[in-house]
Amino acid sequence: MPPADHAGPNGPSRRDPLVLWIVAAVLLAARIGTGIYEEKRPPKVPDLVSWEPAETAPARAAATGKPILYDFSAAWCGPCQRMEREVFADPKLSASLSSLAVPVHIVDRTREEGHNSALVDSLQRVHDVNAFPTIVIVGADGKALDRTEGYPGKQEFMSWVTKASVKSRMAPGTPKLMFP
Amino acid sequence: MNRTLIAAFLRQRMTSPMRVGLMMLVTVFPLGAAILMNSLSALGGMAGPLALILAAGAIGQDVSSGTLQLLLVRPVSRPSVVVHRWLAAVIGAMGISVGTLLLGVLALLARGTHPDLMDLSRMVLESACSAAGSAAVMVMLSTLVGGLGDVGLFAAALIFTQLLVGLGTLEHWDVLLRACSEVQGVLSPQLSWEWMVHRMPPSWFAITSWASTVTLALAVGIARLNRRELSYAAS
Repeated sequence: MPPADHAGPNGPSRRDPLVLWIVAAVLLAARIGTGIYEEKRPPKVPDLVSWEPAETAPARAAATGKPILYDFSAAWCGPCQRMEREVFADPKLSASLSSLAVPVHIVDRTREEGHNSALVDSLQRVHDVNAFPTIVIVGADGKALDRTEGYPGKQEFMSWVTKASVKSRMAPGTPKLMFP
Repeated sequence: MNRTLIAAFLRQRMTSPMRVGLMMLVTVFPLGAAILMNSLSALGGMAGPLALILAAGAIGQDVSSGTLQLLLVRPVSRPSVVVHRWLAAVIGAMGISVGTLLLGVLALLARGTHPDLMDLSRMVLESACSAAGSAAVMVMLSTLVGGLGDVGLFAAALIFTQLLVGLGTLEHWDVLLRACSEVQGVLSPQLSWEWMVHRMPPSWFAITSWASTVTLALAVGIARLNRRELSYAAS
């Protein structure tokens, strides 16, 4: 039970924030509504990354001397959508990503279609993918050099990709890439 | 608007050596990194932590020390105290982060790099949203516990959520992971303005999430302070 109010010259000193409660309730309802809507129909964002097909990525990596960056994601994954908006739709960051590594986008379709293609399944198994997004940097010898689970924000993500890419170029690798 | 409340709160915060030291840590290192990297990107995430430092103990410390009882003897309403302390924390955090950003811009210009104006506007907008969000959450927590207990509550909630994220990842509990992501969004409300720079459609979910968190935190903070027994006898 709140203590008794003493009305001051400017009205009660403990005025209930009724307007704020109403605005908060409306915004909460909008939050739930837009959350459900955007989960089904995520806002269209341009994907500016030059993704390489998984089949040709090792050859491309061998030719360019860059590591492969596997981005394991799913259509329903919220952090993956945030990464798409903040990194893959950014002209500078997407160009930087393509210059640092050979990017490969692997989308899990288990929830939508009940299964994945054999290639997606084998890549997920080899790289022990348990959560989305999982990013794996694979070096010249075909071995995973570094990995991260979740999206830490664009600055941290780009800084991690840069470090992992530099590490992969400095590591003594075999000239031929193993698949995957 | 009660300028006295805002000015008094900011004066109190800016004369606390501990807070000034923490704010220096939050601003000096990113500024150094921005100058070294020749890019303003390192200066993007300052406003949130600055708002947390400024807003920590905004209500609770004054309740514990008895200052709030004295303040409320004057014709100042309780909602006004909460809103003005939140505003003061936002203004302080924005002032420091925009000032640091300007220093970064000057340093970059001196080195011959011209920062992108759109990118700069985006950083200022994101800083404002981050400061407003973090300050609202901290002020709300500050009305719940005395002293600097809000910092403890905030840290405990962050650690607990991180533990749940670990458990959810391990057990593949998508619902738990989604819930943790929402809780993390509530603890550190941020709003990306990338869509404005790249002329993309905005995410209305992100906008309503941020706005609902800020309004709800302020409403809870005001309601809690309204119901608190504040007297020297009560403590």
